Amino acid sequence: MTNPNSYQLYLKVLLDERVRGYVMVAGCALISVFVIQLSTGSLIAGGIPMLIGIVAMMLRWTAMPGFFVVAVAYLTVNPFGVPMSRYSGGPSRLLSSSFSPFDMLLVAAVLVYLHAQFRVYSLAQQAFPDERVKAARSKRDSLDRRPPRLISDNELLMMILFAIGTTIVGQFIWLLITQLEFDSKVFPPIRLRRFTLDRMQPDFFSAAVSRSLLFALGLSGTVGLARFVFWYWQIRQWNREEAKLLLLDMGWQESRREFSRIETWRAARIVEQRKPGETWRRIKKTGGRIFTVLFFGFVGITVLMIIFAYLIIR
Amino acid sequence: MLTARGLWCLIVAGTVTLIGLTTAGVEHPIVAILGITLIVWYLVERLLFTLRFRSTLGKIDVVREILQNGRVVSNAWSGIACTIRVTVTNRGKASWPLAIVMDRPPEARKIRGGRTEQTVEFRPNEPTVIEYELKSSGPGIYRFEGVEIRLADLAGFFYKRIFLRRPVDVLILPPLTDSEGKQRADKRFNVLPPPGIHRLRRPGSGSELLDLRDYIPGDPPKMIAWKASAKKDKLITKELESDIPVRCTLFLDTSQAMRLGPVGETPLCRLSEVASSIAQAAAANRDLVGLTLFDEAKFDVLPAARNTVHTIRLLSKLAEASAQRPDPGGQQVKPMVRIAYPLAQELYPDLFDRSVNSQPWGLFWKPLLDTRWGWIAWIPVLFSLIVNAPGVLGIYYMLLGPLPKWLQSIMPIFFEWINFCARIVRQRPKSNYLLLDIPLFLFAMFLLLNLPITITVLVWFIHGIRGFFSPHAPIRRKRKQLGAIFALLDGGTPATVERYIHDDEFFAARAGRFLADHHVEVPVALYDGDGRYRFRSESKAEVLQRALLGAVSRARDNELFVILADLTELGDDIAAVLKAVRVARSRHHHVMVIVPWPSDVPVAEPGQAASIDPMEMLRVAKLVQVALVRGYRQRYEKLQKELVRVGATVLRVTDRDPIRAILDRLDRVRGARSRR
Repeated sequence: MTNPNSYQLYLKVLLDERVRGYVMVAGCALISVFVIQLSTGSLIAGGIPMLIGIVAMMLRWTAMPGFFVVAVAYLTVNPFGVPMSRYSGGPSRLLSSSFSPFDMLLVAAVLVYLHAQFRVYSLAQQAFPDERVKAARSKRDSLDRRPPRLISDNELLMMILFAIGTTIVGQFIWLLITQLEFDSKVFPPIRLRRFTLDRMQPDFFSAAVSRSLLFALGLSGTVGLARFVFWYWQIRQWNREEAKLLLLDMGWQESRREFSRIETWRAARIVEQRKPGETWRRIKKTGGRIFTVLFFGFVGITVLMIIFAYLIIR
Repeated sequence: MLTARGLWCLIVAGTVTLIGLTTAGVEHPIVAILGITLIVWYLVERLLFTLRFRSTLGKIDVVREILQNGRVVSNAWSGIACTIRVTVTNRGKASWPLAIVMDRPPEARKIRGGRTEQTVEFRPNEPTVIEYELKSSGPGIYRFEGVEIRLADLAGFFYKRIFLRRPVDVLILPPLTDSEGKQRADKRFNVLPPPGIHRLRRPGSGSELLDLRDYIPGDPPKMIAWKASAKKDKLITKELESDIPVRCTLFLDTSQAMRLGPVGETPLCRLSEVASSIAQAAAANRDLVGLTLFDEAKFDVLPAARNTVHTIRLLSKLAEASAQRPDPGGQQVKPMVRIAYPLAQELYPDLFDRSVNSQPWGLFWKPLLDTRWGWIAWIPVLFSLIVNAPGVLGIYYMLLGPLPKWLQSIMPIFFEWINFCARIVRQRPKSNYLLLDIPLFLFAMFLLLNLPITITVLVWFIHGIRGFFSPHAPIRRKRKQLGAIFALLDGGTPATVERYIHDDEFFAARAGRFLADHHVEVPVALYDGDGRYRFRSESKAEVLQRALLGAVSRARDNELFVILADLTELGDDIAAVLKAVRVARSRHHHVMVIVPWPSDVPVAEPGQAASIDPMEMLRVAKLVQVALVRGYRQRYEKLQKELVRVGATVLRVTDRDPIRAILDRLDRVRGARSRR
């Protein structure tokens, strides 16, 4: 019997005529990354991400796409793999950093590769997480995959367009955070950045901190707003049971301490009524043992200390 | 919602963005742009996922149909395969790119064909149809809980599971007449008695001659048999047979012992099938059939009738009775949690959300002072307060002047104590640096004076913090979540939730009921804490007695009482039943007792010696088995003897006995009785 999660099955799905499109797109994206990175003059910068991508695709190592992104980022900064200082234009570089064709191509290629790679994983390996407890899992259990028949005709095109759109949005955001800066002296504390050669005195916020703050502010604002909207939507969609449970839970949280005390005493009383002396036995059996040891240990040590001290004084 | 894959991608994107914005941003903006773009991708995917989820939730229709022989039916029949067809339709506006739609099949039922799940693109107004086949060997209930839908995005970053609770109980009615579901076609002997002989012969106003007897003054003249009178030279009266149909009342034992066994294969299921067949055979003979279900505590009567509606109602009652499961009883909390928690998670995923079913930190803390012996902790505290009293009194003296006289009298004791402590502390090693020695002295004094309270606080902390670790924390978390759901289902209060957390028996009992409601098998404890068999229920003899006497009191003509019960295990406690049978027989009713024969006890005729290898007898297990089998047979023979003595007929039914054979045997018995 074939293992439903075997490597042969994975390869078989990769070669499926519908999945093949994703594999080819991922390959093209990898080649694009290779060529763009090669323009820095280093074979390592182009070769390593490509190698990681091929390993990820062929050996189904799901952690590899993450390493791929890290490798691309690292090798962009250090094309030869070792940190070395290079002059890249200084602050004026920032002015022209948005919508640079090479950067856009690289980002789009990375994004397309990631899209395609993760979709291939969903098709050939696992699309839904396994929620069962570990004890109930077996290696022979078939993982839930996305059947290739569900791939629609325009799905690939939509994916590429989506990646390009995301790339453009990313460029816009970068443009925004490079053109604006934080200034605590004005209100509101955001103004357009001025790139002048006579700015020798550093601002209160450095450019990097300002960019980070702006991005964090924008991100938290967007996420916060979205969360608020969806939270309200979620509350509106609660069914009767959820709403009742919420009220019950709130009541429990308010009165938990008192009820806990009552129930602890009640439980002890029931046990004691059924089997006299059971409470003491249970205390000894569970945590009471530690308590007893510590308590009597403390009493013993105190008595010894007093005797010892008395002897010293005498 | 976020899968491990999505989480790792987010971590990578976040790290790259952070590095890009802070360190590498100036010279290599591409790093920051890459990170920002990845975060934008993640956010857009998440937004789309949530939008789709929210706009679809609550707008999914589920239609369930049971098909038998291509027709939609409301009940299934045991022994016949039925098709379950579930149609799930997305009535929302959003389309789901990837979804697994799964119908939750009934517990402990095997799927004979088809699939219970479909992986689909869940488009609006496009129905997803799931079809599969089920077949039950015995009567009972198919419990369908609802439909589970698992949603994911194409990249596998996000995941959500919803469960559309649509609980439906579908009765599995006992088979029609025989276990093959066919009407009895062959006739082993005359089911209907020969002309002129009624099954239960008694004088009445029928048309068939029953007997001739001497004339009794008051007999109607038209009943005088003139020819016979002429021959005998005295008046002879004709007696005609009664043509009132026989009423047959079935007494089915539904006690706990009868429910033991795999689903659909319990003795109760077997006897339900027999009861169903007897009822249908009696109905075919134009007899009225009634049903009385009894257990250890109560009995439930369905009066005798003859129409189709009544037959269906009777079959439904049999099916409901067959679906009952034994009380697991005496269960521990941990095994119950182990079974109930995954089930509740599967069926109520929405009620496990932390926003409605919270788990505050305080839930795990083990309060020392709430325990029975917690007051001991106050002793060191009191001790510390006493030894610190001189300080307090000194402040009193400084602020309010001289102390009261009684306090002045005990003050020297405190001063002596402080002096004593100071003398001890003076023995410590000294550094000869005043600035260091003074704080060290004070610290040592503080420690000595407050040592008890320090240790107490330490003990209190250790005791409390233990609650945050395994095994306490996981079991407490699960009990709280389950307890809140149980309280919600029962309409309980916050106090009930807390009781579920603390009271083991209360929780175990409710968890048992929860599992029974959802037809989930729980390992049954056969013996109680004292080693006694839990399912020996002598009280059912008294209940059966009351039910039988009630039926006798309601009877108008000679009736047939068929008792389908496991009376063998009652042993000497059968007296009540014997008494009731004697009363029934004294009123000229017929009583028949059908006893289920355990599958692991070989059927042997009375007096037949079992041939066992002497070497095997050396094995203790074999020896015990032989003894048990012999004991059971002896009990059965004794029961048979006692029942026969009071005029009842006893039959035993094994798992292998086809229904047809039982009916034949029954008919033979009835025929023999009628032709006495």
